[in-house]
Amino acid sequence: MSVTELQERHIAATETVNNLRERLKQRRLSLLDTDIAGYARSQGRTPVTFGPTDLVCCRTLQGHTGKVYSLDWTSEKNRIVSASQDGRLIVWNALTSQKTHAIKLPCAWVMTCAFSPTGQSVACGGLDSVCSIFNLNSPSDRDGNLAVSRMLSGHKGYVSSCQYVPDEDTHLITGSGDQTCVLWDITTGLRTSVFGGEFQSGHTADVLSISINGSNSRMFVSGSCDSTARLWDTRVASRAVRTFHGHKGDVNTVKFFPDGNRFGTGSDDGTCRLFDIRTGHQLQVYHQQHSDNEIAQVISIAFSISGRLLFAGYTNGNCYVWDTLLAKVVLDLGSLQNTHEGRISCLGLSADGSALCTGSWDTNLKIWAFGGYRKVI
Amino acid sequence: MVFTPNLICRFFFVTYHYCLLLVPPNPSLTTTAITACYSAISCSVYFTFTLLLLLLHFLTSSSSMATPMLRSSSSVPSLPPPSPKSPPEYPDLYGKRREMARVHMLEREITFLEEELKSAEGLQPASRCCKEIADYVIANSDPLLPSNKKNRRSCRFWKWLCSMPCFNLSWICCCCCCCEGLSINLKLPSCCCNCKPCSCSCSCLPSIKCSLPKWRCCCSCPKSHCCKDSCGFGNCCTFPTSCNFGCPSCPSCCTCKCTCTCSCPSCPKVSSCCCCTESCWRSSCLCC
Repeated sequence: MSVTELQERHIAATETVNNLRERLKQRRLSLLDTDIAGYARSQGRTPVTFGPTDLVCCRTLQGHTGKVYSLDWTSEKNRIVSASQDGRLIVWNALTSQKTHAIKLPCAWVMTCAFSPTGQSVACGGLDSVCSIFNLNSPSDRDGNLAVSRMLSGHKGYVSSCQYVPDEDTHLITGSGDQTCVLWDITTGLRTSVFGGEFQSGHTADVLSISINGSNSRMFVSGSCDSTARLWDTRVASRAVRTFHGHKGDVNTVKFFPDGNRFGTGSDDGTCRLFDIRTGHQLQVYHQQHSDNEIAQVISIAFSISGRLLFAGYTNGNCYVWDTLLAKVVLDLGSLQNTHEGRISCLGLSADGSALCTGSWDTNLKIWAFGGYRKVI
Repeated sequence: MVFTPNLICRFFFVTYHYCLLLVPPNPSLTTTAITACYSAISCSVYFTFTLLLLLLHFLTSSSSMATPMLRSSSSVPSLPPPSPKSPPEYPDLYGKRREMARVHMLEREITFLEEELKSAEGLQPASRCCKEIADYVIANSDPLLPSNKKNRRSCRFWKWLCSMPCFNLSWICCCCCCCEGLSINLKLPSCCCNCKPCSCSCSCLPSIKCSLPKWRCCCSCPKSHCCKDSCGFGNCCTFPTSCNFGCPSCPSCCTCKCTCTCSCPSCPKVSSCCCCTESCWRSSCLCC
């Protein structure tokens, strides 16, 4: 077959793909009979109300000298690892605010960090395109630095996101600027599966975020600069299970809903969205219209343990608490007392859902917990 | 032969314009000679430099270019103008394979989309998913929410919060721990912060506090920390001495019928779940 014929086939195939996508879109639209807010209103639900002291800052973790870019809680709830522009990972005891480890990184350009399920090790990645693993129990050197216990190299672009597979200290998934996600075997340091890539059915731009399903650790979702989120099955690397369209900008952050059947996204288009993984429906758009029509991009999101609250950090410094059922902003953490002085860049809920940790460009982390009137029925 | 500037420069054709720049517009005879010498030196330097460049060019291109080019350059005084080379005549296999891979990828995508479209026929409407979410959210308690239905989770939360040393929530400790089965309705009890017996330490473990056999631990029960059936003030085991001040009818030890209903007049914001103890008569009371 000549190149000209191939090009003709390419044009025809592209046209077919676009037609099919449009038909699928129309079909989905016909099934969107309501959204969550509409349904909740029809059921007479009322929004959550927060008093000024209901959510209080209990702790400020000070120690970084640069912007905080990423954080992660341990599953046993009272430890946090944070990654900062200062080129260090700090492991905190959230209860006492004390630092248990301050790890100087070989490459200071860190973007993401994660705690292993057992809390024995931490992982980080960044512009060096490598995911580095540190064993917290290994002895530190003369300067007090912890040596890298494993380097997971193979990405051809920056490592934007990493997360351990729940209940497995030996497997980790990374998202990268090379448009792929990779499942790693930490024991061997080798790639178990690569999701996407040049000739795979995957993202067509940088992957910015990943989230593994807590209910089914074989499934994970990725958000990308191609304005889509994709659902992957770790057993099938060749193609995404489903692609979720809707955003009109880079999908900066993705997070599974606590029930494992839905996930949330945050985007440069200023919206957070909730998608259903089984049907592919976009169930809700969380968008706050500003008076100046300026779009504040969503950087990071987190769900409360029941899923009722969606915390979203924006580029303008706001950190809205959304009522997921009524799609209303019920609180702005950015306007509370003792809040951060800079942009809130990362968010994370403790394992039992009783505390929220926020990391900011003001170099601090803060822990928020409920501190107000509690009515137990 | 007289070496006029123009002649020198014409000889070294390449630098002609350079020489023109150096010669004044109306030179006198005296200055012409000086200028000529000056120009000659300048042109020579320039020529040497140009020659070196040309040599370098020929040396580097000699491997890929034909030798006649070198011969012609020696015979022709000026260099031929540079002409773009035509692409090589070999077949572009790499581009073809790339294009083929792209087509295959698109055709695979078509198959996937057709499958998805087919499966979309049987999809449930969005309202079903919305109902599932609403049911899930309502059914699960949330320690970050102002209201809760389940108590155990909130106990866990309070335990966490209470253990924070520098955030003074000791009044919560006194009021929150062991809320198992107990209906409480609390607001900040400003007068009730003297929770000296916060001894239950937010622990509901039976073995810790209730030393009486066959009785349940109930931290909210004053002194005894024991109760029968559900944990609540009405079911508390009370020792006879605990009701000796103002409560007329208090049965014997551990009958769980003692209903000491002394009011706490000095604690207006504390709801009725607060029970009076000995300390109540000293203008303070103990929350259950």
